[in-house]
Amino acid sequence: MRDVSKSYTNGGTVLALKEVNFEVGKDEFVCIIGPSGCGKSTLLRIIAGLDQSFSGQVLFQGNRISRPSSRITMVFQTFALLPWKTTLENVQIPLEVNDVGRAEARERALRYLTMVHLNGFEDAYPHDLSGGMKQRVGLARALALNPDVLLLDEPFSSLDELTAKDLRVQLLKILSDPTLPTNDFLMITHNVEEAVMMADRVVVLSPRPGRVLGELRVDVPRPRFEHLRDPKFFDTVDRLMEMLSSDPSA
Amino acid sequence: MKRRFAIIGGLGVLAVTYAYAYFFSGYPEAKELPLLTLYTLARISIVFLIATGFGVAVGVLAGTNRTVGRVIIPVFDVLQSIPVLGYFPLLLVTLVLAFPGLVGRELGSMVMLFTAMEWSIFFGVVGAIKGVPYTVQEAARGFGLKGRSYFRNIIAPAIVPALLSASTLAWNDGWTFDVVSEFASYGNVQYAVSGLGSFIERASSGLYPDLAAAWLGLLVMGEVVIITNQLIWHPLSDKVAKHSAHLGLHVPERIFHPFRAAAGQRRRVFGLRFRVELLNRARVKYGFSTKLMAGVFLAGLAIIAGTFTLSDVVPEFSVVGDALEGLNLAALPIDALLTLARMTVVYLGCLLLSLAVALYVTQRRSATKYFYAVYDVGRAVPYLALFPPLFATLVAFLPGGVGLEISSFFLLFMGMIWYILFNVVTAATFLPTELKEVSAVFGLRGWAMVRHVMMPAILPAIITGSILAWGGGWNVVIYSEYAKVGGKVYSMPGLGSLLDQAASSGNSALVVVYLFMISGIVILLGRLVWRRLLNKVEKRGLELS
Repeated sequence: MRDVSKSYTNGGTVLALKEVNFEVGKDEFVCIIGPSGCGKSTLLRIIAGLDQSFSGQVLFQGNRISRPSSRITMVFQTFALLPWKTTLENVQIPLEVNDVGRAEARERALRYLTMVHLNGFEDAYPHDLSGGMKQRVGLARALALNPDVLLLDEPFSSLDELTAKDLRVQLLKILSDPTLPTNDFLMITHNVEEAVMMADRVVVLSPRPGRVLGELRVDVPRPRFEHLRDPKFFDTVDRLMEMLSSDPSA
Repeated sequence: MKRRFAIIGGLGVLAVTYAYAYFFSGYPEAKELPLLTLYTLARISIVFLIATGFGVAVGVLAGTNRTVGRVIIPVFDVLQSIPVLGYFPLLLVTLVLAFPGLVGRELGSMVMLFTAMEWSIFFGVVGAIKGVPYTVQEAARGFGLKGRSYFRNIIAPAIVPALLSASTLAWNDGWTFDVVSEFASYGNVQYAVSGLGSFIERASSGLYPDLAAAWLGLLVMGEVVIITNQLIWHPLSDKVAKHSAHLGLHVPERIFHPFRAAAGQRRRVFGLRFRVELLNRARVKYGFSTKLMAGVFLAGLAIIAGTFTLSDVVPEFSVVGDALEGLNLAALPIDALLTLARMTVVYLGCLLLSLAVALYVTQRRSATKYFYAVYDVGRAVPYLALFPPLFATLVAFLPGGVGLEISSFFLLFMGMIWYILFNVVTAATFLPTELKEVSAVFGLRGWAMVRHVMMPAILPAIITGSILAWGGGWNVVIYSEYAKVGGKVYSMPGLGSLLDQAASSGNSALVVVYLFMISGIVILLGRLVWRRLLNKVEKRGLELS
């Protein structure tokens, strides 16, 4: 992202993002943290190609992102499943729309549903699934397209803490699977511990207008859920908290 | 500013119409148009106030007291489902028998207007009360709000927006049904009260050598509806919409995003959506007790059949038996099918048109404001009043049957289209942002988007609109399959015209039988089509909108 700025007109003009610069490397899991309303979600939507009215440049493998593509998919905060489609259809339809043959789409959808431990729920409708299950469908849907980059928009914040805790561990296991074609991840969250648990690197945004306050490489060894009590873990959390509370413009 | 201009302009046009009628038309009654307008305006206003008071009182009772609600809501639901025009003649005759002369006729006219207005208001109030979030109810009880303080602080603020939205519809419905309420014939007797509606009806059926007076009357009626809408309902609903938005009441936040237009325009669109949405939802959600309706229907059928059978044995019942001699059982299914076919054709046309408009509007946001402007005017047309002059004009050029078919189709269209159009277009325009984003991210574009996302998303709106449209359609059918112009009777084969013929010959027993036929079809459609669709939608956890 090069000098990305974004403003809204809502009565007056509100600056949401101000000259944001950062990069996500190959095979990297990057987390963006920041307080509510700092423009994190907007940033993710710009990267997804959903929002094109901004200034600056967003490049993906050297090319400008001008519209959504199947190489960058997203997991939504509120799951965003189609309520009128079964679990299987929710995963399968995007595949078919993206020119995967019907038989293969079905086979792939089933494979990814098994990967997120939802075998047996193929014919259930979202209405009948728990929050954690819905988000796993969302994950299967996003991964099944074999994207290069997976965007995660606060994927755990609509869940209760116990479910979220479980799902974080599961997600890390799934994403670290060496056979998974997707290896670049960008997640936004306002939960610092969550960021430290998941990410290789954390980018910290300021309150509105969102600017990059700094970034930090997370040195805690993986699998992280075995190191949640390490002094290094707490140390990283503390340093991120410090960065969040240091606003040079204030 | 724009609105003030519209009102002054509207009053100016009305004045010019009056002046023209007074100085240039040769029709003596046309000179009295201002007076006739006042009569009708007064009648509709009085009934409106009564309907509002009744609707609020009974609605609050039904909404807050579970036992009362369990009795009243299904009963009102049955009443709202039976086409009012079907039982109006019987009701009128009964009232005139009880109160002979003008009192009975005025009473009949007012009861008719009341039935046309009441259901919107009642269901609007009930829906709003049931829509008060449970947490708010608990908090209120926790803070000791009871009785009057509960009403003042919780119920009243909750029902004001719904009441306003219902009032707008009720007011327009009152004008739509005015022409029927002011003029009816049963047997060889005509029951009329003075007013615009009866003027239009009589001027169309051969009072004057030409139809200019009838069109003039219709013009005046249309102008009055538009002026009162501009003067009263639009400012009020904009105000309440704005107010509710501040309170965070029933205002999905996304509504404020898709429009780049000025805040005023957004409020306007919101106000419109608001007016109809609450109401439609309440009417379908809290109504629809098809089981009770089926029970009432079967009981009635049993009584009719019993009377018919007994008429050979018990001499007291032979009058009914004779009356039912006119029943042509062989023709009945064909007539019923013809009416249903007409309604289905118009309904499908309305649905397709609505979907096309919805697709167009979602592609071109700028078309939205034109859509709502057209809707606003179209919905306000008192379409039933359009029928007498339209048919009388057509019949001068075309064979009677063709003229009647055309008028009937057009009237059905006007009676059905607005419910479907508004619900479908609004639902499509306000598709949740989340659904739009998910479609974009996963490549659902064009037809795939329409098929997998848009159509299922707006299905609840289609169902709501359809149920209301069919309700309106039945009244139109009863009114428009039969007409008298210049002493000549025109009718086309259909259930509505059978009912009208029975009423016109004063055969009450036959009227009841046909009314039961129609109610039976309404119940069957409800159970076989709408209830199933509603169940399907509810199973997916979707909200009715």
